[in-house]
Amino acid sequence: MHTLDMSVFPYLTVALLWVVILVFVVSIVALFISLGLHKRHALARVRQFRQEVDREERALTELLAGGAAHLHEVRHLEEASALGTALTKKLGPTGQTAPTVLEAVRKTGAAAVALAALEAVDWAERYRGICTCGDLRLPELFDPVITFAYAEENMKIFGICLYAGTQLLSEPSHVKVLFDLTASRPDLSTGYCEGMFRNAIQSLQQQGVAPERLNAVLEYCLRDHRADEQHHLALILAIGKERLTSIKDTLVNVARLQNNERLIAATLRSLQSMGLCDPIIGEHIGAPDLMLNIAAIRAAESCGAEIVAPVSEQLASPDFNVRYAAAQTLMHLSAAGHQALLERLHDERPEVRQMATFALAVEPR
Amino acid sequence: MILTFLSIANTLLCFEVLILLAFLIINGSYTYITLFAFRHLRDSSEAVPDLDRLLALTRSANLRPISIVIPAYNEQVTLVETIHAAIQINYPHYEIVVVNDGSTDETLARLKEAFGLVPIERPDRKAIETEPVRAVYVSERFPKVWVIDKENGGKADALNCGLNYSRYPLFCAIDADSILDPDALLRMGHQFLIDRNLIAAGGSVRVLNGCVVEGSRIKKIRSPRSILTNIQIVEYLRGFMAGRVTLGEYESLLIISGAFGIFRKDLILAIGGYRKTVGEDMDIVLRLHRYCVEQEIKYKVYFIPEPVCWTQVPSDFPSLLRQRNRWQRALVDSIWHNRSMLFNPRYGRAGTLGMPFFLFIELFGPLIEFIGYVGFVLFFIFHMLNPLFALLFFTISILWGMWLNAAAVLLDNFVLHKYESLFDSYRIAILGSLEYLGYRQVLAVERLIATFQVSQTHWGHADRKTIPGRAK
Repeated sequence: MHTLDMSVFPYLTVALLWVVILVFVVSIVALFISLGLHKRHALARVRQFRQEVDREERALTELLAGGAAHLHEVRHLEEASALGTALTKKLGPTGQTAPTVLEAVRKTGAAAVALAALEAVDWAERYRGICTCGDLRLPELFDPVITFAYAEENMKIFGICLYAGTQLLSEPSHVKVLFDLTASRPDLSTGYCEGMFRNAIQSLQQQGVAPERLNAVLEYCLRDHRADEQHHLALILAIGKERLTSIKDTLVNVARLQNNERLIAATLRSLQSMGLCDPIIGEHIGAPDLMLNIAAIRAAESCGAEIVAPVSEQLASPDFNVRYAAAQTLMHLSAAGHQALLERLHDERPEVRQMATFALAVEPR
Repeated sequence: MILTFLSIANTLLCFEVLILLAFLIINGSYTYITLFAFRHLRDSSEAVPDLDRLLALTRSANLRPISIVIPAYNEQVTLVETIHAAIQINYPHYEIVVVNDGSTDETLARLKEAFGLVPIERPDRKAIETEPVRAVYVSERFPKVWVIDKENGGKADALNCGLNYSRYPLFCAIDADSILDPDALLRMGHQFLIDRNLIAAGGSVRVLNGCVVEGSRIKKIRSPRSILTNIQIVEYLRGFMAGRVTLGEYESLLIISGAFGIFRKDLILAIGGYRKTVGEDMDIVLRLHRYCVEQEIKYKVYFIPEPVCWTQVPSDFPSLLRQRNRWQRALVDSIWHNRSMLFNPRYGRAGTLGMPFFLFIELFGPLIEFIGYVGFVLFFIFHMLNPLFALLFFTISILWGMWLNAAAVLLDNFVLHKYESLFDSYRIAILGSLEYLGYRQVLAVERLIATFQVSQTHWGHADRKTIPGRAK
């Protein structure tokens, strides 16, 4: 005899399965439709963005030529982003922007739109907001961007904040602010920190700030325990070794005050790169730390005959690399260095004779 | 007798209920993964830097140089094209180290001809023991291309040899039949540039079959006509766009494809390089997880969807079966070798979420699927199954699969917009759904067989097709 449950449940099961099938069919159809709609929408958005960038670029061209063109009022992030992109395309990613252009950008209201995006819960919108802030180049956005960066946890956005900071800075003290910001995040890679440090200095240079004006800031940054050799390298790359000579004393003073072997070695290498002599070089020839000793020996190339004796002594070092560096430096130390090498040809120690012979044979005068 | 029959029937019934439950859990997991990836990619697609910004960013900072290592065994058909594509990559400092792993075909001769190789002395650090190296060559035309010719020792051995000879701090392994997108390294390098804790990252691997290649670059991205290839495209989309995105976000990414991944070389050397196994790509990531946890190193392993590497997939069924057999053996071997991570909270989510996922969903999945099919047939034979229920259930499983496929194609459109034509996207989604009509069942059987062949270490011969566009 069929009970009620035996009669009903199979039907219920079948009915439920039909409902599930229906749900799947509807959602698959919806997915297919949204696939098409999304593609169409994405293409239209890209096209519209390009058109807006072109329009802003034309207006900027006219503005830069002294024309009476004005930039369009900005109401959405998309428009602010297009304006920023046009500015970057027209003027490059960093550097000086004419006051008339900055004034025109201010009048569009783009800054307020970009800053509002930084409040968004959606991290992609914050990302676009920060990119736009950087691209707009308005110096007054520097402080809000830095404040925002300190509170931002997303690494991708934080990285972009630093870059935006280098686009927005307008005075030497901003380098210090950016340096502190990079130092606040231990998970940020060293390469990126130094890259941004270099970018910041380069950006100031493009705005016509003389290297001497950077002295106080650089002293602050390089005296920090987080600064290392790569910051020196970044400095040389940013300023150029010829112009860096004006801040040589700062570098040397910082190195002396810090008494950090890596930083001293970096300073010695900077001096070598600049081709400048300083007493700090002689002080570290023969240092127990091999890295420091070799850096000092190599930096001695730029010094006079008085450095020949201490360098020549290093030819007797038990370390091959030290002897090698000493031999090479002596070859670059004018006639006195050459003479010292000739004398060492008759040294009683075979390794000294060998290195002197090698240097005289290989190194062209 | 009747009682025995009833008891068997009841046991079978319970068993089948368990199988149904497993089906729900497996498909439910994939659905959750897809929905999670959906949300994540929808957001992150708005935050992908365009190429100009990426270039400006990376030029202003110190991108770490990369050694691209391409292990090659009998790859005369595709290797030259792969290297040409790698030469055109947009990245400031990189080298290409091709390791000819004792090829018995014309691989080396073709390389010599195509790149003007000259023998050279190049010191290696001999950090890892490998089969002897016969000669080292450098290209006269492209100085960044090096070729190491060595005795055959398998893919892991070739990669270790590449590690010994590579100069740069980041190590990128790619397959010999793959084409990297020109900005793929830049997008990966950008992540390594920002995040100090990043130790390994994998990019998307996409199907090259059907695409138009000109001058070693992908000129037109199209879906192929073959049903088999379209099914594999959907599988790749599901695996990368849904699976890896979600596992990556859950800090449980346990595999970086051997076709395209970048690693910190010092850590790979610290764990002794690649282990000689058929699944060296999964094994290396698992060992990196273990090493970093045991050494208390803060680390991250990312999946980054935007950088793309295009690779050929098998275009015939026997090759596909061999490939999937190898993948399953690799999975079993990697999980077994690193079993100490399983359910171990010391390894964080990698141990408590990633490993169980790979064990129960990926490894046991085919077994459960196979038992389910057999059970259904048995129940049908013994009249223990309501035919209408069976039909409806089968329909649901196909529709659920179709839903996952369509969602994966949509995910791809969110991020990469690779297939320009809507027709291509629809074709992939629809043809991909045919996997439930035979394809999936056959692969389930093959993977089940492979589970018990784990002691076999051969790779199985792979038939390569010439990459279209520069066919000689």
